Amino acid sequence: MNPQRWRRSSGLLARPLRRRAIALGTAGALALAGMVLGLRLAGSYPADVARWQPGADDRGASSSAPVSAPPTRLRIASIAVDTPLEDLDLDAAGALRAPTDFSHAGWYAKGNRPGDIGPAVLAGHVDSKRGPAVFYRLNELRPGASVEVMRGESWVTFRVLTTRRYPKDKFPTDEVYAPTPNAQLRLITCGGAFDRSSGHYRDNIVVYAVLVA
Amino acid sequence: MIASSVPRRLVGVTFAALAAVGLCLAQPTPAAAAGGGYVRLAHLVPDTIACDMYIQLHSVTGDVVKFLPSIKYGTMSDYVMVPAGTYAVAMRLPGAAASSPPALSTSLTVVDGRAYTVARMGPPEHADARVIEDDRTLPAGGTAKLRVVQAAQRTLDVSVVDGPLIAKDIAFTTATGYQRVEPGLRTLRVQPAGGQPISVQASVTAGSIYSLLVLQTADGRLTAAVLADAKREGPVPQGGVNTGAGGSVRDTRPGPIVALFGLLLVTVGGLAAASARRRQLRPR
Repeated sequence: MNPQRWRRSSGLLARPLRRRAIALGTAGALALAGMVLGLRLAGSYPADVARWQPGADDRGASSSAPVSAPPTRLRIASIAVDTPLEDLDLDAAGALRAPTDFSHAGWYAKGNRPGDIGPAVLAGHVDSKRGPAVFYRLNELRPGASVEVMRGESWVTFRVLTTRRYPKDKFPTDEVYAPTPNAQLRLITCGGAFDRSSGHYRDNIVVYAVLVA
Repeated sequence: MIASSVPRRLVGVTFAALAAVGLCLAQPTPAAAAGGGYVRLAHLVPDTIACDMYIQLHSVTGDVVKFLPSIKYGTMSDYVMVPAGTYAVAMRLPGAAASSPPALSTSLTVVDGRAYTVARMGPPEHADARVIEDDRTLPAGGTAKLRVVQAAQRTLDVSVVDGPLIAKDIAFTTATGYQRVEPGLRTLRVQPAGGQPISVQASVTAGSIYSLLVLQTADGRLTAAVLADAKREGPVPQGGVNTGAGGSVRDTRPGPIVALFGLLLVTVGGLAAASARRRQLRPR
């Protein structure tokens, strides 16, 4: 077994193994607290009550976006991310290009704008050849964490739903990019084992977040 | 013979133990849908009775997750996002206490990533609470999906003008399957059996999913509207993203804890194998 596997693929939580013991203890306590709080939290999901009535026949065109400006900045206080956003496009094969600057995140500009109904996609590097990059700590994000995107003059706030890791060769396109009934965000970086022969990580980390109403 | 079999066992036991631990540690997160499911509420019974609608945890006496007061015919709420689990949808007369027995109710199991419409549905004299599952799976290559939710007391056909038939002979209280529709500005034609057709225009986006809700007015005319069940914009990216260059992978040797753990397993495994061997060799 490739020893690097132990380091990078040993679960979402721990990159440095030394932190694992502490992390496990904390996670246990948090899980217990979460179980107790779970029922309460169920009642606090965001919800809009904008309703359709017969006769109001053009509601299909409505959008929940407070502003129409494209996103320019991303802020995730809990993992010390504060970055401008590059525009990202697809490559010739249809795959999402990564940002050119390792210290910047990027926004898939042909897709949804963050805050509009649908899954808006942001991506950033986990590391460069020299060390950690903008999304190095993305896999630490846990449900409830706040993610903010600047559009025009105002910040649009999202709440993390879940953090997942997928092998790139089994990337669940239908889950990550499927249409959504509300405004959501996908934050994507790399994870898992680093494959020196290809120069790429084997997995992707995907953080799912939803607009805070 | 005996001398060689002990180390072989030892290697086997150790390898199996290490492999088991490795599997536990390296197990990827299952590629499940994520973050909860979606529920919306609707009143699709053509009568004048309004009702208070509730989504409650586990049962009609459970905690209220969502409350929509005084819902009338033709109303479809926005989706409420809820954690996967079991819920009840209760419908009560306006103003009735949330603790009172509901006039109508149904239970609802919400699966992660799936969407549901729970409606008061049926003819006025036999209204019922019904769960309709909504599709939110990615439409195939650059198309959209559309279905009909038929809440008018007629039988009708729905088609896209210069496009496909969505469904024929759609009876009152039916939700049809979803059909592929080309994106763009589309005109939907609703043709009731033995009556005047109506048409509705809708701007259809590739990758999005729609319901055409057909209703009737107080004087019996048909009316219809296109609602977006789920939306997305732009071409769908293919596969994963290469967002790393490996510069944070610092150490290529096993860390001290892994090494210690391995040593411990080897020792325990060795002792176990040796003692098993001894027991086996003991004369009976």
